[in-house]
Amino acid sequence: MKIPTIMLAGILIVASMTTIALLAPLIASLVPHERSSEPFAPPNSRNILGTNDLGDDVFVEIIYGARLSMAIGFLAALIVVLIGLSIGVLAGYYHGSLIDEVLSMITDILLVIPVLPLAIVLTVYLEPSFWNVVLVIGLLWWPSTARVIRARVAQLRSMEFVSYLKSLGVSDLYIILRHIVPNVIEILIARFILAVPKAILFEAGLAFLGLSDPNHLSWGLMLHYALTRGGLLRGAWWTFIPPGLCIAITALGFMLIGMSLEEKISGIKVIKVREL
Amino acid sequence: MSLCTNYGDSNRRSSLLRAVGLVKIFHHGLFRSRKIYAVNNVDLTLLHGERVCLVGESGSGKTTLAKLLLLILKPDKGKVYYKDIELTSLSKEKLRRVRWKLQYIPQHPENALDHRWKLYDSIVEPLRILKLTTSNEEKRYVYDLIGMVKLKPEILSRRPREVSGGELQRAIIARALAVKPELLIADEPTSMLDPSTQAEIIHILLKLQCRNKFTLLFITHDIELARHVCDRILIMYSGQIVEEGSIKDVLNEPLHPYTKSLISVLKHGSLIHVYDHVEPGNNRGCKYKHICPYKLSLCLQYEPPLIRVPNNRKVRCWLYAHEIKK
Repeated sequence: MKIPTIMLAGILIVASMTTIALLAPLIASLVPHERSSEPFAPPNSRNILGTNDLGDDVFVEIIYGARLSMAIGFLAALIVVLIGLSIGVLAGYYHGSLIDEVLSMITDILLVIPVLPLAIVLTVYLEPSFWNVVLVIGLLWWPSTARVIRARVAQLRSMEFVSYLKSLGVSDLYIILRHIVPNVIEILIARFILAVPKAILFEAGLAFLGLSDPNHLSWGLMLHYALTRGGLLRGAWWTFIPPGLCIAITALGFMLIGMSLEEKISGIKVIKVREL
Repeated sequence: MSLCTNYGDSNRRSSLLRAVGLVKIFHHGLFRSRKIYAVNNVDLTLLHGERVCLVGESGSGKTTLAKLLLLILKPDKGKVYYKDIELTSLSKEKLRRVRWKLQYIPQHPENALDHRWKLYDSIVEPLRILKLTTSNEEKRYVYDLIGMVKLKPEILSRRPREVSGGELQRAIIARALAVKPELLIADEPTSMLDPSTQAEIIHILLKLQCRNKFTLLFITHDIELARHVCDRILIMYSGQIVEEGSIKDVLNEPLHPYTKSLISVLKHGSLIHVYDHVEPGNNRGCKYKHICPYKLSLCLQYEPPLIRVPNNRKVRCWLYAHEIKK
C-alpha cells in the first residue's frame, strides 16, 4: 500500500513530537522550573531558546510541555471515541427505536450547545486539574463522532448479511461485536486522530486563559505566562513563538493523518494540494 | 433445462410453508401519512420439494412477500405456517429453532456477506452458530459445498470485494445450503449477472434442488426465466397474487389480463406500462382496473377474490366470476 505524501508528513510530525514527549528527560539537560540564567535572556549558546521571566530555559519547558499536551490529547481523544462508538453503535443499530430517539436527542442537544463557553465554565467549576481537563474535553466532544458512527451503523444494519444473521437467531451483541464494530474501526481511527489535535488546541486555550493545573507545565501554560508575566510586553518573542509553533505543528501533524485517513475511507478529496 | 423429473402429483405432497392473508403496509410521508400496501392479502402454499416461481414487475411486492414468509419482516396481518407450526405467533427462542430451515438468497449479493470477512468464514458462520458440524469436519464440509457450487478453493481466502459477482453469488448459495434447508427462497439471484453466468448459477441451483429435494421459491421479473426454472408459477401484481397455476398452463393459456400482457411482452417484446400502486383516491375495486382492457363495471366497485378455476388454477379477476358458482 502506498502511503500518501500528506499522511507521511503527518506521521513524521506526530512521531517526532511523541518521541520528544516520551524521551523528555533524556533530551533536556535541565528539569523544568530550574533556573539556568538571568530572566528574559535571548537565545544564546547555553539556552538555545533563551529564558523566561524566571530565568528558566524555554527549550527545556517546550520539551516537557510536550508531555502534558500529548497526554491530554490522547486521553481525551480516547474518551471521545469510546463514548462516540458506544452511543453511535447503539443508536445506529436500533435505528428508529426509542433508544435511537433518546440517544440522538442527547447528541443533538450537545451538538448545538457552544462547546467552548460550556467547557470553560465546567473547568472552572470542577477545578482545573489534569484529569478534569481530560474529562471535560472527552465528555463534550463525542457527539460528532457518535453522529458519524450512527450513520454508518444504520447503513450496515440494513445490509442483507445482518438480516441473514438475525434470521439465524443470533443475539444482537454477537452481530454488534463480530460484524458492526469491526466495520466502523477505520472511521473510529480517523476520528481518534482528528480528536487529538482538537483536544491539544483546546487544552492550550484553557491553559492560556489560566484554566489549567499550574503544577503541570504545558505549551498553553507557557503562553499564559508569556502574556501575564511580561514576555509579550517586553517583546521577548522566544517566550511565546516556540510554544505557539509547537501547538500549531503538532495539531497540523494529527490533522494531516486524520484527514488523509478520512479521505481514504470516504473516497472524497478533503485536502486539495497541487501535485508536486 | 429440466434436470430432474417431478415426482408425483403435486396434490399428494404435503405443504411445507403456508401463508394466510398476509398484509404488509408501509407508511409514508410526514404530515399526511400515506399507506402503501406492499403485500395485500396474500395466501400461498409451498409444497415439499416443488419449484415455484414468483413473477411480477419491480415494486410489485415480491421481495417484501419473501421477507414476510421468512419472518425477516413482521406482517401487519396474516399468518405463516411451517408444516403445522404457526411461525407468526412463536416466541423468539422457538422461532430460532425453526427458522434456519428456511434460507434466503438475496437480490444484492454484494451486501449479503460482511465485506471484512473471508468467504470461508462467512460460509461456515451459520454452521458455527447452529453448531451443525464439529470443528474437525468443518473444513471438509465446506470444501464439499463449494465443490457443489463449482467454486475454486482458493476463492475461500478472499473477501467479497475481491471476487466476481458470479463467484459471490455461488458463495452465497453455498452458505444457504450449508445448513441443509427445507426451503430456499432465491430473490432474483441472477439479476445482477451476465447471461452466461446467469445460466450457470441457475443450472447449479436446479441441480442442487434435485439432489437435496428442498423446496425452491424462485423470485424473478423474467417470465422467460421462470419457464426454465419452475413447475408452478405465481403472478404478482400490486402486492397481490393475481394468478396461480402450473407453468405450462399459465404460459399457454394466461387467464388474468395482467398475465396476458406479460406474455404478450414475451412474445412481441413491447414494454410493460408503468403503474403506481400507492393508494389512490378511489381505492375500491380491482387493483388492475386503471389499465385493464377488459374491465367491467363490477371491477370498479369490488375487489375480485382469488377464484378457483379448473386444472388447479386460481385467478383474481371478475371475468371468471362464473367459476365461483360452480
